[in-house]
Amino acid sequence: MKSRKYGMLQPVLAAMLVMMLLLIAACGSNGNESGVELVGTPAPSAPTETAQSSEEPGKTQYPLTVTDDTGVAITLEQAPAAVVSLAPSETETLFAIGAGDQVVGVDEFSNYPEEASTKAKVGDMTTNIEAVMALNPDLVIASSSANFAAVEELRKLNVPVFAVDPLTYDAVVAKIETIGTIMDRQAAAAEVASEMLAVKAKVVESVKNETARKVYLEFSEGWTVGSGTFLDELVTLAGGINIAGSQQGWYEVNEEQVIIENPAFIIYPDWGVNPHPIAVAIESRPGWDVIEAVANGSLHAVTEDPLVRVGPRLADGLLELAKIIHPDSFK
Amino acid sequence: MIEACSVNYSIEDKAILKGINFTFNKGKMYGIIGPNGVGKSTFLHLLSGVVEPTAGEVLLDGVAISAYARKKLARRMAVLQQSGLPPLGFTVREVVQMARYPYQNWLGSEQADGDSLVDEAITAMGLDELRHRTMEQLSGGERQRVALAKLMAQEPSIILLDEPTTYLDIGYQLQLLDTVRQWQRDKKLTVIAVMHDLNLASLYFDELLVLFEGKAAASGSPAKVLTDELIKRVYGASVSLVAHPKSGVPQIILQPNT
Amino acid sequence: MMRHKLAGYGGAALLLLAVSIIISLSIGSAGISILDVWGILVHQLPWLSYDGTAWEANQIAVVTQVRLSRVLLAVLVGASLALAGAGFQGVLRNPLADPYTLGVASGSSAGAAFIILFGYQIILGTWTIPLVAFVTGAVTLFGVLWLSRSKGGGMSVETLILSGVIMQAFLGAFVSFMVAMSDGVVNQILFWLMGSLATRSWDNVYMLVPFLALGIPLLLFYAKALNLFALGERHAAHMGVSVERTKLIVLIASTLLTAAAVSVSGVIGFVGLVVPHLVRLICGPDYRLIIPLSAIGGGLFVLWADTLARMALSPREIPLGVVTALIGAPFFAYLLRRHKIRNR
Repeated sequence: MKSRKYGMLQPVLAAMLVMMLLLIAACGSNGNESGVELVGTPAPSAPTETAQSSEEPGKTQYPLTVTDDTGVAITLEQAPAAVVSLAPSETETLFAIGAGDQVVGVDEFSNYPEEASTKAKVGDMTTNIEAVMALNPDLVIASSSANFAAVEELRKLNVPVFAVDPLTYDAVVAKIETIGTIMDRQAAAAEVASEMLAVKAKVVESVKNETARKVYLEFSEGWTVGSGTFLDELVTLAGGINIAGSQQGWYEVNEEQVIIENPAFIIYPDWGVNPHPIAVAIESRPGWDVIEAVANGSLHAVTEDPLVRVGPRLADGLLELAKIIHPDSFK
Repeated sequence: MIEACSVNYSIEDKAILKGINFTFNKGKMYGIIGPNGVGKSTFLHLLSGVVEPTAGEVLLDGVAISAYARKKLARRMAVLQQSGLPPLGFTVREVVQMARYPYQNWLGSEQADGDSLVDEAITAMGLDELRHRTMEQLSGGERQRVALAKLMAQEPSIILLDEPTTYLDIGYQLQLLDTVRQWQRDKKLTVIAVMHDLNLASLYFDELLVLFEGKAAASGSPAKVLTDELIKRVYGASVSLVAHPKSGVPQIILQPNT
Repeated sequence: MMRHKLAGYGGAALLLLAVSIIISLSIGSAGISILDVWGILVHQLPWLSYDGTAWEANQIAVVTQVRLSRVLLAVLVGASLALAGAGFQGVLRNPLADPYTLGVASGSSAGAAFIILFGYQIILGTWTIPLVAFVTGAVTLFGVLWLSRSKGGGMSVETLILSGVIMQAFLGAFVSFMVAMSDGVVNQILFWLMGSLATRSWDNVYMLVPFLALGIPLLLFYAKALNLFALGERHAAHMGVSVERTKLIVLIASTLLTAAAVSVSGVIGFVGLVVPHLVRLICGPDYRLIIPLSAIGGGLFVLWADTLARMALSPREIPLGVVTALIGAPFFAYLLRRHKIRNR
């Protein structure tokens, strides 16, 4: 029997159904990201320079116009003298190309190199816009995915922002070179770039003839890293097969999958604690003891930052992974 | 036999009952009357043992009522609340069946033939046709009958009623009180009822206890208690009193002031 | 008459549960064939010996260690939550009461969040989070009871519920703060809160068994008293029910059941609210039926929800609490529409 008080029920039920479908769709797409930057949304275009051809090789000509990963072009009249970095990867990049003195402000997580942590702080995952403005920067470098809101805000305030979001190792190298151009440190940047490419080439060469070995990554308890991420790319370059590669992004993995795939190596991030929660958890999960990696004790902690920061230390991370997966090729 | 000995009751320093002494003897029908808010229901709940007096005590057959185990007390005494039974999803029979709780052990069985008693009570209250209906399907009057049937099935020797006729039409009021009185006579029960309606109180009860300003203002047979002087003092109303044509007990005829 | 009803409904429910367990055990991300699954399981029975080398170690591990423990855990968690829900609804006489009304979940969450945030997850091995969550959940109840005690020593239902609301608000804010402070790549606290049965162990199963083994008979013992509660507390007292004692015992038992479940699985909502109601709609208001049938019904509900959680987007896991809410809410709405929910 229909009664008036149930009249609202149909639209409410419909709304719930829609919400349900949206949620399921969301689950199917990229995994969670917060804090340290990882996977971003695909960039509309890679950073390009519309610079003058170098009459003086290695010396940037100003005014310089560059387009970043968000498709926005900024013009710099001269080499920036006061740069604020909103992402630890960019801070590392700046210091690596010798532009550390031009850095006036960094985010809380910028801890490498040590000198970086002495710079003024402008916020963590949430940027303190006022703090940035107080430093009067002539350039802000940020991650277009992790610092999305701050980038918008700063642009509204007419601050030049160069927002990047490299998705592959080679894209990171290209980005470092671009930043080298922006900061008029092309020589140093070229050095870093060639170093990184050399490491990559060496690794690829060394594992070329080896059979790829299965790897399981657990970078947060119960969570693995799928395709479309740096970790995935580096593992693959290092001669490994990421067993979680069938899905995109970060996700909570079903244990049955891991056991059946039977990885030879399990890799987790080093948090500087011993015993490590992830290692302990893996070793105590019922049924995991039959996994090759667990049975052989092939659980390896890797330095976390080089592997998750899209900066010059990706090379270090790559090397570390390669040494774990194919130790015989790297004596 | 229930005795109230210097029973005091206060809520947050506000004294409601100030030292009531009264003995309710076995086998009689007592009516407790008095103005609204004087604490009649509270007094009844003190007598039933669910509320503890601030001072003084209530004795049941010489023993403090608080010393009785709850189930044992429930086998002696049954209470009909003013609010009656809520419209639940239980059937009439299931509700009346609940009355046997004080007699059942933890397995749910009892020594006497509880089921027959339940059925008898249902028949006695004329609920045979409704026995499998759920409470929410019944009218207020029907639920009151179920409440009485439940009371019967509980086999008490003392019944306490809290304004049992307040929400009923006159027909049902008389029906209820007739049933209670008949039952009281058959089984020699002790009945103590808080009554709102003075005429009904006068018609049905052997003795009346008047509560006024926290104390027992008067007690005795209706003829003795219901005088215009008392009614004027306690209720502030001038009334005419006539003797009931059939039974002779005093009945109040209201008198407007204008 | 009631015995017949119990046998009838109970039998049907148990049959449904058995079938569900069979189905759930047979499917999984590992892609093991049903024949293999049952071959492995049957082989576990000591008196049936035949050559067990037909299966790989991984397959055996998946079926006996991962899947079997998870399926059983789902049933136990669901049973605990639904049972607790029935207890709460009976004592609080509020159809909207669920096991979290008195703040147990927020207490457990606060404990777990604290542990995760400060990285103490393994000071007591893998038992750390469940143990802490259990203790903080149980302690919250005592906080609520303490807040609700009146001068006479009794606790009114309204005060209890309000105290629970206060506790939840306070502890919830605390938890939110910790969630915000959590700067890992994956917000571990948040995902613990959403509930999951992944990466749980047989230990968790063993932990819940005593609670259910004690909880079911205890609540059944008080089932008749809970029926009388429906008439009103005073009325129940007049019928010989020790009201305050009943309230206390049922509340404590239900809270401990809830704390045990939450400490193992995180906060899984809707089970404790929907299942007892569903049982009431089908079987009537008698707690002697509602209590045992809620336990079975809860087990069924969470079993299916967890099966969906691990299969729907395989090999990704969907947080279990999300699934129970997404199924539970519309289903409940549908029931509300079809039947009138009776009072208490």
